[in-house]
Amino acid sequence: MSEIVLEKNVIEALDKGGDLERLKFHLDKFSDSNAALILFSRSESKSPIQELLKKLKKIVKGYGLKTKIEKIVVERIKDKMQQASRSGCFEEVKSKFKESIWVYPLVHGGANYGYICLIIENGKLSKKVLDFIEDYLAISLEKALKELELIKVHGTLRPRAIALSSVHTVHRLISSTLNMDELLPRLARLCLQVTRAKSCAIYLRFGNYLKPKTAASVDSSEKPHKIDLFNSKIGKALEAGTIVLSKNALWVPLIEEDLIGAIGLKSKQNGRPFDLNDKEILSVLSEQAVVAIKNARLYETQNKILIESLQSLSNVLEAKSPEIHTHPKSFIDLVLAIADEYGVSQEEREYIKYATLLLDAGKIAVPENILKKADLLTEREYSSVQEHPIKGAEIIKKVKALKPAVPIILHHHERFDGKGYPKGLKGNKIPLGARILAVADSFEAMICHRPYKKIKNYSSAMDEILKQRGKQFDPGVVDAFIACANKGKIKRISQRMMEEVKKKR
Amino acid sequence: MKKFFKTINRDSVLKKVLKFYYNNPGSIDTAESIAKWIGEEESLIAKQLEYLMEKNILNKDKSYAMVVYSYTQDKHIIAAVKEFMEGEGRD
Repeated sequence: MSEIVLEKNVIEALDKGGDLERLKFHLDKFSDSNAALILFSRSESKSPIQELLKKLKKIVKGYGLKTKIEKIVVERIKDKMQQASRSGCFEEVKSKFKESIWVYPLVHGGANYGYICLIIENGKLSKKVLDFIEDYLAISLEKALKELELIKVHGTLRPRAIALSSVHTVHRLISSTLNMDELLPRLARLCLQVTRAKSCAIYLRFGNYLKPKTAASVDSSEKPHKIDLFNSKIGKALEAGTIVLSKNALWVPLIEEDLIGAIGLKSKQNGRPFDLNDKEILSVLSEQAVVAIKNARLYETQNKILIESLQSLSNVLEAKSPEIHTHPKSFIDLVLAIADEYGVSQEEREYIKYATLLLDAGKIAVPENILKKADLLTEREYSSVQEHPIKGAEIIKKVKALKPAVPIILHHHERFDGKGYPKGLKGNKIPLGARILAVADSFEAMICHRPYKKIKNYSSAMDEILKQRGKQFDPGVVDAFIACANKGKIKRISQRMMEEVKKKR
Repeated sequence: MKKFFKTINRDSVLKKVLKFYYNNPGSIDTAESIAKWIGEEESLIAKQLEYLMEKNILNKDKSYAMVVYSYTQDKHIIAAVKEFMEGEGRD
């Protein structure tokens, strides 16, 4: 705040604070007269006499005083203002009139903020009262200055605190996902929101380039372009770890030891230029973004390792006994096509994927001769086969990361009408993933080779699935399956699965 | 929007929430935090945030553990709110 603005604000705060009204009330009582208190800023004290005269006359009239303010009195008041500035104490203004006039300097901490002119219509005030007024004004001035300080703190700290709270919220939002396809668009949208920029793009590094992975914008169709890290001004700056702040753009590097990407913002929605606040906020956000991207990448790697391990588990079974039927590799495409059509959540989709890859694991615990048998199974043999979901679930549940897949594996042979195994669960009590797997597993069993069953052609298998809608299978899942078939997906996957089984045989 | 602004005039808490986002358009926060910034009951604020979200003045984001609200990016709505708020200042 500039000195002049501060002085103006101090005078205003004193004027509106109510302290002067209270002082006037007491002075009226002390002097048994009418008192006027007139505030002057320091700049006003330098005003021409005519101007001051006009002001004084107007205020004195406003107070209802009959005092006759003349030019000579104003000149004296002006002189006393200068004297009071030097002395720091009240100064009496001598005049030939019956009124008593004093000038008080508004001084605090060595700084002069202006003056108060006190006019008592009749009589005099004792030295004690004048000293009291001096103290009273000092306290009022201090109070006004503190109020202004509070307003200043409120005006500068509150927006920063609100912005920091938003940054913290963004941190929580971006940390809550480990899926890169979800994380980057969310990050772009949140950066756009916090900075109120017109567009935001998230870039990731690929060799010597930063390539835009996602963008969010407000009424902008401009597509972000890749950035050459060694042959462009912005690229070079980002590679050096420097934030680039210009009037209409803000670039912040994403650094995890080396440059891994960047956040690029263009133009503020309100037309103002980007400022240091934007720079500060985005630089904190970029640090959080680096951690979130790192976590998502670690999760992706971990996931890849997990899926490869699961695939090798079914490969073990296949390698050990090639005659035993295991699901073809494309079976997972069939399951996920139905799951996507049904509209499962991203999380549920992951667990269905794991369960599908682990579907054959329980067969390890079933005697080989039973799995290979082409004739009808005895009751005992059949109950051993029926146990494979339980055995599979037993094997998997020891792996913490796979726990959510356990109920899907355990119940994939349940029927919607409750006549399935192992628990005889009915309807929606069967986990969704298991209901999806049940349709896919039965369809695959019908069109691919099984030692105990003759294969069906595509349309007979489709008819059979439809026939079992609401009986063996969840009607919603069957509808999703049919919708996939209408898009040609099931036919394509079926062909791939049959080719894989043929090759194996 | 005119009908909506009439509603706002009858509800001081709703007006406070709108004013908060008008003054802090970059804010993204939970009902709990907004209640603290405004100095009102969280349950009251949560209700008004939902109402403003239904009116497309606020956006809502969800994650597992939280629901957060942020100001619209729609320039027509922003302009209408600005006009209303500046009119308030003149009163």
